[in-house]
Amino acid sequence: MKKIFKGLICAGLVGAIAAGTLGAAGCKKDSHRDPESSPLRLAIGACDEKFNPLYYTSQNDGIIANMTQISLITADAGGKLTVGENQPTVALDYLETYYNAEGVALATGNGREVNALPGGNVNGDVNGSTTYEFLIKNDVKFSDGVDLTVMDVLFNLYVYLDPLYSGSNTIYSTKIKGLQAYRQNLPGAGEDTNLSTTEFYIKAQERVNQLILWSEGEIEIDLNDKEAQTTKDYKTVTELYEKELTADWNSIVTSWSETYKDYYFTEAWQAFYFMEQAFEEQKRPNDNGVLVRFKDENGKYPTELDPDVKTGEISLRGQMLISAMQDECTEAKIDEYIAANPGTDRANAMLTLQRNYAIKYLHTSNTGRSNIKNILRYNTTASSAVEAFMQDEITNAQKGKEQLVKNIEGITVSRSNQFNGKTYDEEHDILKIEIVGVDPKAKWNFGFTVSPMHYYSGTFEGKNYVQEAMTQYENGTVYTENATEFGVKYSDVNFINNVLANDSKNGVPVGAGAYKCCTYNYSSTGVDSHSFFYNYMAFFERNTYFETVGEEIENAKIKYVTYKVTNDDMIVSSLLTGEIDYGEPIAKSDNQTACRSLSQITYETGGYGYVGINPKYVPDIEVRQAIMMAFDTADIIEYYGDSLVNVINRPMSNTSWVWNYVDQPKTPYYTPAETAQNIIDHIESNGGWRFRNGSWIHEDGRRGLSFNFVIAGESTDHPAYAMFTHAKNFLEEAGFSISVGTDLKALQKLVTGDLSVWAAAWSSSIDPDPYQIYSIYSNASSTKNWNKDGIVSDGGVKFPKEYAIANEINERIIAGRQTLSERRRSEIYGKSEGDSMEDLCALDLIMELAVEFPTYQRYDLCVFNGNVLDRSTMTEKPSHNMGPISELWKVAYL
Amino acid sequence: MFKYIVKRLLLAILILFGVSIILYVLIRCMPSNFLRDQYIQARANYGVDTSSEEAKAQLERELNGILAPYGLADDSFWGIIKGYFMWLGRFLKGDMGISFQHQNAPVQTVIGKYMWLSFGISFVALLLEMAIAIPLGVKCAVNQYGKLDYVATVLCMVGIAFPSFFLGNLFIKWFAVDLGWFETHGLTSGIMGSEFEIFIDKIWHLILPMTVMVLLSIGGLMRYTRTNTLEVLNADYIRTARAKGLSEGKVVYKHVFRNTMIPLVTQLSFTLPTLFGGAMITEQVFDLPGIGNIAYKALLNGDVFLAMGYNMFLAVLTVVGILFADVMYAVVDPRVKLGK
Repeated sequence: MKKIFKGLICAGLVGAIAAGTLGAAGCKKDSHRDPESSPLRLAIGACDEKFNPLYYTSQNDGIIANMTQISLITADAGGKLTVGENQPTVALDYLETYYNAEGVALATGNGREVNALPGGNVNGDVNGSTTYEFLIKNDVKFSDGVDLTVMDVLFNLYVYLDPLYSGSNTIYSTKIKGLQAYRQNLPGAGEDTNLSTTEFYIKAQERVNQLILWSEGEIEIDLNDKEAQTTKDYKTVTELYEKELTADWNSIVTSWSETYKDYYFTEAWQAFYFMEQAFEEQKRPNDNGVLVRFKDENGKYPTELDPDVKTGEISLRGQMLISAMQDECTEAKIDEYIAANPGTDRANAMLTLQRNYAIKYLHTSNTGRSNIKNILRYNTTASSAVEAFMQDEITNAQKGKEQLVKNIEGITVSRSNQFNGKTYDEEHDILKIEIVGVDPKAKWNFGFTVSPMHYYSGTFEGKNYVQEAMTQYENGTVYTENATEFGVKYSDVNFINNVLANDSKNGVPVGAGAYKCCTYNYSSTGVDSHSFFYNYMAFFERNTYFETVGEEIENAKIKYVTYKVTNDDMIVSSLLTGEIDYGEPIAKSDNQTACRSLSQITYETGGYGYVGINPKYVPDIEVRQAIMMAFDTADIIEYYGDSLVNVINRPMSNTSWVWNYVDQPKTPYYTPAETAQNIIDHIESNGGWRFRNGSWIHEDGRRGLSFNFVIAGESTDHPAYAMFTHAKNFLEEAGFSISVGTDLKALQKLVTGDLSVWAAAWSSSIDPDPYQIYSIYSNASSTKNWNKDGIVSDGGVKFPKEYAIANEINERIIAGRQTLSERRRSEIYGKSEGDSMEDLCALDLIMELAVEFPTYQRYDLCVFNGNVLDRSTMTEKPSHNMGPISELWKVAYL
Repeated sequence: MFKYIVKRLLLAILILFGVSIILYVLIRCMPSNFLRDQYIQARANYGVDTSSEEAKAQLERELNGILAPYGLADDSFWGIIKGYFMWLGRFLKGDMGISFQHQNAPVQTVIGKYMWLSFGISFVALLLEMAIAIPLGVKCAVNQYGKLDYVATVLCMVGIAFPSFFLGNLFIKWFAVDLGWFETHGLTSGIMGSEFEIFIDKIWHLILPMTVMVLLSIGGLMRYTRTNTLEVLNADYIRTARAKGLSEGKVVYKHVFRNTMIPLVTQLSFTLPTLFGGAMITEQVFDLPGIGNIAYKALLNGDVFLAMGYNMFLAVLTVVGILFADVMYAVVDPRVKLGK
């Protein structure tokens, strides 16, 4: 037994040594590698394994999918639009043209600059249009040898613009001419829709008439039958009427004293009731005995709510309305409201209670059976109801699968050998997209990848969509307005799930990119989702047709590439062990030190870090400003290291072209507080808070300033954590109560606007237009984080300062979208003319709003094995637009 | 015995029923729900307003429509009970539901796909554990209070005390980063070669995680073996065997060892669930595509049916393991009678 035991130990030791030797052999850091047999090993984060270029939603899935794709257009390292023979794009040339409302061309652009035409200008025309033309390359092939044609481009467009598209592409937000009609399946829909001529309008009107007949007692409906159409319509009408009342209240609440200055009203609700005809004017018989409205000796019109000048009485009806309102707005109810809505002052609380009651009273009074006919005849609700019922009829028609609008008017194809003043040896297809008005950043929506129609589309319910589309291409129909086949079945979720995004297509992406998928043993045959993404690794092989993308394009130098799923905290270790040849660890000085034996490249990243403060939870602007005064960005510099981070003083990336035209501010907008007393003084001098005996008390009765600072994620290893901790200490000296913590669900709460103070980072976008985040017309979830709806919806009652600032910001944003001149846009965004609100630029106004405190702009760190990879084959001057290995096909081994 | 097994199986059904209720309620109480979170995110990306009361009500209606077929729409007490019975009805028909984060693949398919790697690692680790811990435990008991006993005891205590993530990261630092003998994570290097070479490559990647698992579990088994062996060594029949003149080797390895194996066999029967259940933390540290790692992600992301299916799978294995342990006890020890 002893011998056996010893033998086992020996065998174990030998095995371990052998394995270690094997391992060491496999782990050898080759100084020279054969590009034809040695794969380039890259790192990637966790994937959802949905590698469909049309439908991926995770960024990492997109990176994998896009290894096999090329796009219609692309951007160079400087962020300028670029196409051509030496670019991996489908477009050979590009032209944008701006027209005024009369159709006269004002200016043209090549994606890099805009030039005014004779008699034109570079401002575009919001009432005009813009066309984007793409000259499609000939003879480009996908990785399976099939030709890439304009039909593939159209296929991709119609997938992204389908009403049921649910991927991450947002091209549907572009105002392409005819797009709304296509998506809604409503002929003529759009800005100039004349709805009255459609059959749906007639059906909608019939439904309204049914309710009127019921109201007049001509027919009966059973309101208990929830499934009956008339019951549903009645409910819709009552909901629309409530919206109308709310809109009316919002319009009258700030203007009633001027609008009704000839009346004796003393409060907004009285004017509101009068406007909604809840009571009438007092009338007197004239000399002919006819009742007429009259002005009393004070020159004002009395109403049933006002004291009769002669008798001093209010009508019974008026007395009832007044009493009811008084009962609704007692001191106790106001206190109750304030307790439920901290930050509200008494005046606003009373106003809100009055509003809620008045709307409820009118709604109840007027939506009964006998009165609803009046709403459906005379009120705004009448037209809203017709529109709503029309939309319902349209939806029902769509359920019947009848496609009424078969193509998008603004997307057309032609063929020519002439383009943008040049003559080519052979004809090319030209894709033209027309949008309504002018939108400087719309062109970036056309940077989508072009996936093969023959692979992603197919046969469904007996129809071969690929064949139908190619037939129209071959017989020339695609060049006419009768083109209706693009390889996509309109608005059909089964087509999407079973054809476009079925399991096999989600697992293996195909395209015309530098690489194609292969199996884990580097074979091109038998590639499926299991063999391609194998044990958390993705395998790629050189696409030998890639050189067809351009005359100056060559096939990839390294034949095989693998992506290994690697957590962020393992990237440095993986680089040091040689498991991966190139990685992008977090740019910190610790990581730089750890990787000192390897080659490194750094460049400024496109996005930037910020701290958000939501007015929904921190309603006082001076308090938000004071919190910002407590932040010290030096803590963030310490986290990353001096050479790897820059301070940023305005909410716009340092890498934006805006700073090419205007000077970047070198100092923070809010002077950092040196003592807690600075904080106290700032709050006291700008609002109703007072600091007494170590506590904060507001003149409206609120007490205490207590907030939670949140770091997204589960770890406090975050650049903002130290800054938050120091700010907490500072603010607590100034009487605040602050807690600092992490929140795993923080990113989800950002989507719903449920965080009060948080640290996060914006990712970069090529165009600096802040519409999506800061326009009062934007519906993006990011607007919830500055409580846009809360600030704007009540006309500035609760947030008067913020309301005024938000409107100014919006004006700047709209102005920036109405010119094509980068210099002018830069001035609008980044150059204030003075200190008054009218003179502030957009970025200073955003700082004035005190909802976003920009903290840092870090660098990206790229680390690679310099003994293996040839630095000279990587991007010479990488940027956030083009990283070191963005042109992966050019990268070579030493 | 047969009656005993039948009785235990019937009891097992009741136990599993109770366990399933507790599991379902706990999983439904998790803050995350994959389907709900993805839908809200998709609507936000689409620019759909969700801030007004009406929009929120509309969102709830849509979510109800999506979640109701799965019994996940209503988070109230009765809603959860109703959802549970919907799940139970499907479960009894062999349908464990679908995994939302694995492209709606059936839960059985997902578990079947990832389970075998975990089983392989755990099984080999178990064999190694037994091969090292049992002889070591016997040796330590025979040489009680000797040098080997003390050294082995201390090392085993250290192994028991170390958390798996700590030891795992330590091994990565020493053997992968510093010495370069292994890779830091993953199951494959992506080498070019034949299937056999790829297989060896995978074995090489599994050495570190298996070593971690073995080292952490040796301590417990070794101490248990040692204790049982000491008990048997002090028995009368062992004194008799020695008195008869048998060699020490025969005494220990023929008489002592056999009797020590009795409780060991039953102890090892309890490891059945761990063989298939995966080592959640070890798989995460080494980023192995095993069922433990998948189950962790399911719990984190609120993939209700996958989390439920995995835990029920473990529950079934545990119940079966316990039953197996009891039956084995009767098999190996003729003194034990079941069912009386």
